[in-house]
Parts: sequence; C-alpha cells; structure tokens
Amino acid sequence: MYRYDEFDAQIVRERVAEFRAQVARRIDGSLTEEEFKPLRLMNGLYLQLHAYMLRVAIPYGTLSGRQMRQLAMIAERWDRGYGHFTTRQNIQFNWPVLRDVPDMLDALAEVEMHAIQTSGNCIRNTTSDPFAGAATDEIEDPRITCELIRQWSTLHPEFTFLGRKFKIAVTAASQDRAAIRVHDIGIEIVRNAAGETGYRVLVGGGQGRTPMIAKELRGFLPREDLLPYLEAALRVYNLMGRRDNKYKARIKILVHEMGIERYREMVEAEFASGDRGAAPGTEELARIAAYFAPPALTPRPVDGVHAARAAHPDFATWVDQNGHPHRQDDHLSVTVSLKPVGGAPGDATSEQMRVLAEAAERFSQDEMRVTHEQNIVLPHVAKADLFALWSLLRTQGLDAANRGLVTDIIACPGLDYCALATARSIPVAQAISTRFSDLKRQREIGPLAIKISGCINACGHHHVGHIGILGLDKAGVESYQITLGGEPANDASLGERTGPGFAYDEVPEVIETLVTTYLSLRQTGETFLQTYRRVGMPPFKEALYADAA
Amino acid sequence: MARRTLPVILTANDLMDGDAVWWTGAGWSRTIGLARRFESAKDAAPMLETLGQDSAAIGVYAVELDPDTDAPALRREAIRAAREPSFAYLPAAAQPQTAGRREAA
Repeated sequence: MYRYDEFDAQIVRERVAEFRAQVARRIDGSLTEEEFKPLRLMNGLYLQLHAYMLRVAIPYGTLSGRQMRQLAMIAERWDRGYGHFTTRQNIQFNWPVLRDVPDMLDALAEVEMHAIQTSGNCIRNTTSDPFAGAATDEIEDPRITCELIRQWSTLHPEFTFLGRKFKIAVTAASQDRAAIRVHDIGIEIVRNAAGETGYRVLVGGGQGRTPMIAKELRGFLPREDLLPYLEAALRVYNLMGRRDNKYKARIKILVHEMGIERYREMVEAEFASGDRGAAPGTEELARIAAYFAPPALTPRPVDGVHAARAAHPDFATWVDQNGHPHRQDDHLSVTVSLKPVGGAPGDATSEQMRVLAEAAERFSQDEMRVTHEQNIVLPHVAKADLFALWSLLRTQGLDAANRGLVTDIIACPGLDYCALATARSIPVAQAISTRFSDLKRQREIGPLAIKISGCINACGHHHVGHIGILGLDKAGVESYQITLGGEPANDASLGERTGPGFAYDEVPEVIETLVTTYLSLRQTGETFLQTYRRVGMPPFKEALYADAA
Repeated sequence: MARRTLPVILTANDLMDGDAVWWTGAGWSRTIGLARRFESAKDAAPMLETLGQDSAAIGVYAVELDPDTDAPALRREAIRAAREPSFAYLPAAAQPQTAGRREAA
C-alpha cells in the first residue's frame, strides 16, 4: 500500500489546522454560513437531512487494518457506531457534531486519511478495480496509476474550481470492474501492438440526470504522457464547459454538444503545445510503483478446504459465490458482503469494521478494498484460511453469500439521510432483499444487479443496473421508475424505462414480476441481462402493465 | 384549480449538531410539537426573513402541514421530524431517544 511522504502528511496536517480555525470562527460568529459553507464542503462536510455528514476519501478504495480500526473508532467516538460505504469507494459518517469534526480529521490524519476533495467542483477520489493487484486478468496493478493521479489532482491549482465535479476511474483488467465507461474520464491500461504498456482514454461518460456512455478519446497513450494529457483534457473542459447551468456543466455535456472529434482536436492541440510540467520522472514512478509491489504469498496446501466444504455446505456456498480467482492458484480474493438480508446496503458497524480489520490483518496481507458496489474485498486470502475467515466473519453477520445476486443491491442513502433525495432508497432495498431472502432461489436466478437511486442524481447507479430503480416525488408521493438492461462493464449500456412508475409498496412485487418473467423466458445458462438483450422490453412491459391496460 | 393554502411551521438545522429544529415563537426547539404554526406561508414570510439572519440556525425554510393532522405534509419533512431514518438503522441498544414528535401523516 502507498504510504504518505512528508508532503502528503504536511498537506493533510495543515489542512486540518486550517479547518479547525475555520470551525472556531464559524462557531464564534466570525464567519457566516454563506462564508463557511464552501470551506466545509472542501473538507467533505455536508449538511444533510438530520445532521452533518462527513465523507472520507478512501483512495481507490484501499484500506489497511489500522485504517479500518481508526474508522471504527471514529464511528464509535464521534458518530453513532457505524459508517456507510459509498459507490465512490469512500465512507460517510452520518451524525458528526460540528465542533468534533476537526478532531475526527486529526484522527484520520493519524492513519494517512482525509476528507479533502470529497465534495466540490474538483477532481474526486479516483476509483479502481477492487481486485487490483490480485486479479488474473490484469496487465498491472492499476493503483499505481490511481496514486499518480491522486498526487497530481490533490489541490491542483488549475482544477480546484472546475465547472462541476470530475470523476476518474482506472482499470487494468480485460473485464472492467471499475465502471470506467460511466466516468468523466475512464482509463484502461492496455498494451499496444509493440507490447508497450500505455493507456486507452475514454471521456464524457456519466450518470446523473443525463446519463451517457463514454467515448474513446485516445486509443493508446504512452505511459509517460498520462498526466500532461489529462491536464490537456481538463484544461479544454475548464475553458469550454458551461458554467451558466450546473445541470449542463459536466464534461459529458461538453463532449456531447461539441462532438468527440472536435473535443479531441482541441485536447490534442493543447497536449501538443508542449506543457509537460506534470509528467512524473521515472524515479518518482518507480517510487510509487514500489508501494504496490505484489505481496510475497507463501504457497499453502489447499487440501483442508475440501473437507471444510464437505462438512459445511453454507461455507462451500459462500466460497463459490463470494470468491474471485487470484493470480496465485492457492489464493482467492473474497468479497465480504455488506448486504445481509434486510440490511442497509453498505453500512457497517464499528464492531463489523474491527472484524474486517482483523480479517485483513490475519488473512489478507493487511489489506482490503471498498468496492463501488458497497462491499469489502479481501484481495489475498489463502484457500487454506478460508474456513477460519468465514468463521470469523460469521461472528458479526458478515457471511452473506450473495455477491452479484439479486440481494446484492446498490442503494444510495436516499430520503432517509440525503437533503437532495426525493424518495427512500434503503427501505426499498431492504424490502426487496427480504422478499428474495432464500439463497437457493437467489442462486437459481443467477447474476442480477439491482441498483437504486433516491433522486435523479443517480448516486445509486440505477442507470447501469440490470434492474434500475429511480425514486421520484410525484406531487408529494414517492414514485419509482423502473429501468431494465443497464450495465456498467465492457458492454456498457443504459437502462430503458419500462413505463409509468410504481408506488413505494409495489416495488418488491414489481421485482418479483420481472424475475418471474425472466425465469420463464431464459435459455439455458442465460443471465437476466442476456435474456433482456435477446428478447427486449416487450415481454417485461407486458408482465408489468398488462392488468393496467 | 387553485392550490390549497396550507398552514406552515418554520424549520432549520442547528449550527452545532445539524439537528432539525423548529421555531417556537421564542426560540428553536428540537421538538416539532412545540413549533409555532402560521396559517400560511405568506403569514410566515416576515418571520422567515428575520430568522434567515440567525447565525445559529442554518437554511431556514417553511414546512407545509396537513391541516387535518397538523403533521408535515411531505414525507421528507415527516422523516426529518422523526429525527432519524425511517428504518431501524442501528442495533436497538444504540437507538437515540426521540420524543414529542408531531407524528407523520
């Protein structure tokens, strides 16, 4: 894992001290709320429906046991004993008190964490593949590139006040698990015909009220050109992007209106103009890369796991469902689901965080990843340790064997927490999860990604859910719009609306109808998405609306 | 059809802890049941403007009430009035105490 150098540490400490003084001046009345609001937002402090909310950055979702324990302590000491892991691979605390926030930030700084650039119109936390460094299908660890971008984008003077927020994702695998096609900039680490490693750069993807799939900006960019090229891409956006209407200010709108060809021409011209100041030296690249050197994994016998599987069918199911192939045969990457039946997706209590920390320390090279699907990945688990790991996780209800299934639901905080939301999300997820609680049935249904947003801003990624659910307010009543066929990966697509929305109480039955329809239509081995793509909307629409016709 | 005029109460978030608070006529309270009721948003407008200058309360605005129940007309405000999410978000032992609510419609 990356460790702060003296510059990182100094930046974070100075920022906390600065914010402490700002909070004191707000409390003594020297600063008005109008003056204070942009300052608190630059430090990740929002004001939500019931309380302040502190959003903490988790760079590319990577955490150590020590960091997770500190998050547990912060949740317990200054919040209500839990945190919410987000689709940006971050964590949010929902109940901090203003005067405590500087102390929370100091506690984060102790473990090389902060809340800078988790809000505002700047470059946000760069996200990545949760199986980075462990997956069988990657060219290299994408977090080296993520860390390079993190350092470059932190407090970047030119890009601190962009027209809108800016999100970058990086993958190095043949299977996109970082949703790069729905990011402002998506970066894929690739090899060219000469065998050189470089970058394929996508631009103009995004969700929100105007969802778009990213377009290719450059098919192959030499490694050393990445930061100068990103600077060129952002500079053109910063100059040409709209600032008169926040709903049209994201780069996707600029690229759409200008056309990818014209945008590319401008970026290439800017890039060619010769500003190479951002390019890192080879020494710096090597320094960063050294932090992500693959851990030395001692070969371990795997015989014991077979006996444990035979003796404990629940364990065997959990391994099959939540395990992901590792580059070393005697290891697995394991997804720890934060989606127990009836639970709030992405929430973890302090006790659960401590168990996750212990699990990482004992069984996964002291490392874990927050996924954009709101789960935790332990990337390097020896198969020989799987049973001990499962037994540990079970003590805190962290053994749900539902990765990628109908109950592995992404949900934004929704109307229960969020000041922007127009409808509840979490209770809808809980009701669906309860409805489909039978694990045997979930596995019969197969891969099915349900994603729920409580407003048009789409924090719950509903546009790219196989089944997307968007909660809206219709004349004071919650109404849920259903979309089908969304997908965030290599063959990305945006979901299509089924038709008129449904009432809050109707949603679980709607999902049941969609699932039943799929099961009646599917061919052998077909997933929900594959069936939908083969048969299209009509049979699903018929099933949902026939009675209303 | 003309929109029905609804009674309102005034609300904000407390500076220190972000709690939802309601204007009682004499100060801010965390108990919605103590909120001063105005017959319409128009009636509340002068006080709304005055309270907008209060540095201890953030983002003052008017909340419409259901005239039959005197509870917030919108679910958003009903959830906010309950001062916690609408689902059991914590183990029972950790649930905060809430009292004196103007119950949701």
